[in-house]
Amino acid sequence: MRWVTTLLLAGLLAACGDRADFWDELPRVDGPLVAADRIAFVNRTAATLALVEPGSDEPVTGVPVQRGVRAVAAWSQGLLLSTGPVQAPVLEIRRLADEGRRVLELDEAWDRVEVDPDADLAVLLYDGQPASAGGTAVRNPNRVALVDLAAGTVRALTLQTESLAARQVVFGPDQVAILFDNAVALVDRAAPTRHLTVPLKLRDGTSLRPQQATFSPGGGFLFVRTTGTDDVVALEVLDAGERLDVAINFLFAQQMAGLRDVAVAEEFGEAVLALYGNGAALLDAAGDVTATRSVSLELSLGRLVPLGDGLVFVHAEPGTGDSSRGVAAWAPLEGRVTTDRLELPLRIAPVVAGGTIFLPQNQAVTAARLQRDPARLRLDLQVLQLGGFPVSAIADEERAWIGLAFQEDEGGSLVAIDAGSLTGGGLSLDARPVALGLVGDSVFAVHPEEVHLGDLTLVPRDDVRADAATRYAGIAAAGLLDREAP
Amino acid sequence: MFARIVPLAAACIVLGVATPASAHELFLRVGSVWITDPSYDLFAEQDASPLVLIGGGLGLDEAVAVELAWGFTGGTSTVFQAVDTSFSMHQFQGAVRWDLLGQGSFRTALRGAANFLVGLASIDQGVPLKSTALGLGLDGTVLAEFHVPIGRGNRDSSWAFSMETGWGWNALPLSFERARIGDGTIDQPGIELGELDVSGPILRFGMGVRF
Repeated sequence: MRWVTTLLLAGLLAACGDRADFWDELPRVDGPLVAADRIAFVNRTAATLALVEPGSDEPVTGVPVQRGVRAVAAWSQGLLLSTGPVQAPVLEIRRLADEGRRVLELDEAWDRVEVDPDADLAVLLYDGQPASAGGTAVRNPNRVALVDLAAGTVRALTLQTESLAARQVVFGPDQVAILFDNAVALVDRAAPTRHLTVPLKLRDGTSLRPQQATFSPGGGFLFVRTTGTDDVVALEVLDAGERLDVAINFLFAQQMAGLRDVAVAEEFGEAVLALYGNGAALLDAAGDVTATRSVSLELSLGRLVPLGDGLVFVHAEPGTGDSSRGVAAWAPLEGRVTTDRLELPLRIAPVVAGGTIFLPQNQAVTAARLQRDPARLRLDLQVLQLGGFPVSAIADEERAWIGLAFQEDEGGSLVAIDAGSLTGGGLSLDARPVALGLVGDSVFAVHPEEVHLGDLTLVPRDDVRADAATRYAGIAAAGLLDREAP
Repeated sequence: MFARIVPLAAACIVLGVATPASAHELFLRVGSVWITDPSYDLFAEQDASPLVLIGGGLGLDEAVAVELAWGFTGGTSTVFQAVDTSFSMHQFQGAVRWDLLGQGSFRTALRGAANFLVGLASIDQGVPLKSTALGLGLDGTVLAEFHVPIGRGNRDSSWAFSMETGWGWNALPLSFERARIGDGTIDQPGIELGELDVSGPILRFGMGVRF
């Protein structure tokens, strides 16, 4: 009997294993990421990828990804993951439509991926934060890499910026602009060895910190809004053969102060729209002041929304109380402007559907339309009552969707409004729609979670009814039981 | 009760009472199954999971009996700092038992069982996500049994109280394919959680009445 007892006790001890630490950590989940008409969630902790396919009756499955995920980005065809051990980092390229997978070996464990959503180009960078678990211990923030996703090539570059971190990446037709703390780097898309770093400093040595940047429609200029000046910094990209060169213009409008926003639009050519605290101006990119078109604004406004056809809608920053009521219609080339005040403050950022601007307010949304009369520019405002408080909004060319929350209630609703007729419908939700997204022919509402695993309601864009809705929760738990032990 | 059983058992040992090897039986068995699949950590902090088995047996001859039983095991836990999880499994079991060696009131036996499994998994992060899995499994145990006739002074009683211990192995796979939330009023394709292998060593202690 002794051997039976010994065997039994040995078996008991062997089988009494404690739980792995993995289960006690807060999971790190990226998503929802929209790519290739699917919604993706990447569970970095479990190293799984879960995909929601609108219209599919199949359950969401979780597939393994290489352990050590440091960054995830969505692009038109799928996902990019900077992952793998720090000693052997890789870029995992997932094509979602055909389940294709390609792995590019990297020399550095990049912890940030920015991707041109419509093209096969990605930029790998280091995060400005201290090294996190799994990241590399030594980072040079001046290092970046450009990845040609079609060719599968990676080109690493060292940019002389003297900055602590790259802040933002802007993709232009011919160049990529990387905004650093006090500099802008321009890299040629086709030939990354052609790159240029432009320190942003005034003559007195003051550093300018880039806040916002956008390429001109033709790609010949990069317009940068910075701290420390009310001028728009225009970088004209010059082709100097083997290298890039740049000419810098500081664009300004007389008597305008407090630069708040910049924007571009096709119909204005190589020019930039600038919104100031006391007015707005269309500034010629080359600095031709005779081409400047400026208007004064009595209201304090914060954002420019080009609508096409030479019209620009301007609105106040949302969520700032009474000062969030201002709106304006502006036709820069005609020098005309019309301002108005909303009955209620703007609650969240407006959205544009088919030329109609939807301005979400408390228990209401105002539909704004700009019209040219022979005599003046008109701004028509039509208030639509809502049964809740807008917390999210999104739009396509035909309609806008507003996510509503109810006071003292965890539920909410999703309202669809046709941009033409301003009629609509909606469905009740069992949780608040804190964000909205578009995927394929569907719109989805993202719900809040104590632990982020992915919780959303999906509904066809043209059929916002409960009967047509699909509900998902715990999406990043897909495949959790099949995960490979680290 | 035990004050009566212990002297009776001692008497049986001394007298070498022979009770039916595989009579009819009603039993309650409790114990543990050690679920060694790392994924079970989602539902429990320890691999050992309590196990209850209730059923009855029908003796076919002196050495063979068939049994039917219902069993239950499960665990609860909190993972990811705020997600409450639970797992429970109902076993509907048909088993065959072969008596091997016996001397007096002691007996050893082999027990092989086929199980129809109903597994229930719940992951609750505020919105309970629930999944049901059906499966088939096997288990086998080696039993050591001790039994005592019921009825004082009645050496030929056909009723006996039995106690047993069993050690063996479960092979019980479950696939949680469509985890869903709420009451189902909104369409849900669900979430495939994956496969949980509930297999592992079993240790059971049981008591029963034979007749």
